[in-house]
Amino acid sequence: MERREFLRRAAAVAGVAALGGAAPAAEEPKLERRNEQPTMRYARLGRTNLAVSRIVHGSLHTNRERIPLLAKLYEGGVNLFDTSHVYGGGRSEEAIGEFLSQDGRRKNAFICTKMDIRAQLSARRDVYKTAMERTEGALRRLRTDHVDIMMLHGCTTLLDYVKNEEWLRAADDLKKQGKARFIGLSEHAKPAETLTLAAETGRYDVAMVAFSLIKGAWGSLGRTDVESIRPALEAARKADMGILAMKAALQADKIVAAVPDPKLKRAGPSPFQLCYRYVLGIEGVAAVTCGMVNMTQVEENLRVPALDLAAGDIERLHRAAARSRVCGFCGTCLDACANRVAVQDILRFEGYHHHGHRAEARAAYAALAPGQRATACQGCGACERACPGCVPIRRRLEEAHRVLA
Amino acid sequence: MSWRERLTLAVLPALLAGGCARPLGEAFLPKSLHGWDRVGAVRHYTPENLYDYINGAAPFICSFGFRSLAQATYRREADQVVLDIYDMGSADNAFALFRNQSSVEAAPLDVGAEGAGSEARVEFWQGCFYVAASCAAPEAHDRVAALARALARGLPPTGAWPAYLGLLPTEGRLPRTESYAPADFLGHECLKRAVSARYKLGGREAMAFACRYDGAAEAAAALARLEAHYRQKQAPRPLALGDGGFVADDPTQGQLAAFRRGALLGGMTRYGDDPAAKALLADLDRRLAPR
Repeated sequence: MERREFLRRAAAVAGVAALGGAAPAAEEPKLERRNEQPTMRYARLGRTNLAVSRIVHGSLHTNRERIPLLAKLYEGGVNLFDTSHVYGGGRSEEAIGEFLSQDGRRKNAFICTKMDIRAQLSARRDVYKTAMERTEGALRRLRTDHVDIMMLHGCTTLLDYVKNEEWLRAADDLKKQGKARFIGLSEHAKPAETLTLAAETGRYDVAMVAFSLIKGAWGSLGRTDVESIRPALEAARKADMGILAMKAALQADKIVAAVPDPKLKRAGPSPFQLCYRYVLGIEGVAAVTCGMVNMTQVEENLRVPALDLAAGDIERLHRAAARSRVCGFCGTCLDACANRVAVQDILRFEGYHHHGHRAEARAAYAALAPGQRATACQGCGACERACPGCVPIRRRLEEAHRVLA
Repeated sequence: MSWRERLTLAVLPALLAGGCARPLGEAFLPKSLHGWDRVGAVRHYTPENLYDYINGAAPFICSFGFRSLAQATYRREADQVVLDIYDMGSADNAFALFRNQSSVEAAPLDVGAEGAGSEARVEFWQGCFYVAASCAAPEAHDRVAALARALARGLPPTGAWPAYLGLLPTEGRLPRTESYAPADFLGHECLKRAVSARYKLGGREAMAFACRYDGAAEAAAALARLEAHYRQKQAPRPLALGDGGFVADDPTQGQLAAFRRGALLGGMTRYGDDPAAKALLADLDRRLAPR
């Protein structure tokens, strides 16, 4: 090994240790390294021992027309490409397959794909068969004989399916057949509960979970803020699972648009970069998955892992989120309300009404138990004190009741 | 079919022929449809809460101009199917979503303006709607397809296919490769409202595209920005076509040719100095020229 290479690798290992990889202290794990570039940082992805780039390409919007973006990411040292057969009806897998199959890139990158078998899991039929068929389809589109990580795709929540024996049998067989090296899951709506359960099973090597600095936009089904997930991250760390964060900057644009804070628009880290960098600093998080659709976003995100956060950067974004009054449906108000008023549902129904679904919105409101409607609000303001978005909930409830009742 | 269904199917298209301004609901997803019974109520989603249903895919759907979704589950004996009707606001958007979202390996299916089917999933677009019918049981495919056709009969008809498809040359075009990207075509912010298709040119597959702008100045700025991107590595060479253009080396697209014609940009990937490539670009230029 050349000296330069030795130093580079030593620096990378140091970077791994410093940046939150959950390596056991007793023995230095032998990391599997691919496509490492000096401008990118890498971290150990739990017990997979894959040294993954701290920025992962989330390819929801990727198709053959956006292959130039993959080239830019690869050139920047990204070595983990995350996809799914449902992204663009398979066009995302197709594009990644086309790109990585050229110029020997496949052996220089890691592929993570996901299978959506929730219909089968829900119907409790054909789970194993569909899982195996979906894998064959993915391998065909990805032009490879194996993926590095195969995940159970969680759109909304997988909480009821994490321990499904048929799926786990399929996962074991995929490993035995060499078609998937590691098994994982992705979870949007109930990341803390699902991650805790996954860690308990001991069957999952990797989890991709949604949580963010500010708040999740999809939280009507559960909590997605950082504080609520910390215990689950600790459970995953003890199980030596690799953690990929996703949806880390989902509301950043809305927050910034709603708050005329010139400091947020000044030169320096963008709100998106702050959100991504923040989750990378959380212990146990190996990398963050970013959906990127253009070269500007790629260039911006490639700089994230090396960013040094200035004092006050994160607090400024927190304050902006608080002043934005953007309801993220995070559910904090439900925990705070002693009277169990269905605040989230009522605000959602108001949204339906606003968008023209008036009869349906009124019917949905009428279907709530009397004690859950806006009229049950005692006006104590506990919800507003708890709300991370400083939404004027009491006033919004009054307005909602006026149009829905 | 009951008289209620007949009446519904007869009256609704007339009521909604003027556009897709009204919210979807019970009208398209009645309690009984072609022998299937609805289970529970129709659920509605808007751009604000589409996350609650399809989560991570929501931004993708929204990027094509999504307005609202009506969703319901139907049951017939042991079969259960989920019907999703996306109101995309226009046929242009519905076509675009269908071509970007329907299963890439699905077989063409005679339903709606254009349909596709795989396993027990059927997808189609018609008018301003993109529709997906999903069932867990592959053996139910034919029954799901029949249900989808019944649903299509109740939706407003397609007035015309998107006019933007007329910008693309037809000779050598590979079937069903036409696509539309509202933004960030080829990963470039400057390439907007792009329609594209793939062509067989000798032994290679090339892609021709056209982007639309609000004026010639905006189109010129977009071309300049694209050229600047390539200039970072190597100076592009000029292309004498339309109002001027360039040819540049792209690491994944071979040679990329791009030119402006008024408020439009045209171009192709895998360009070469061969007659076939030149003929394709010349045909594209003719189509972009004002008539």
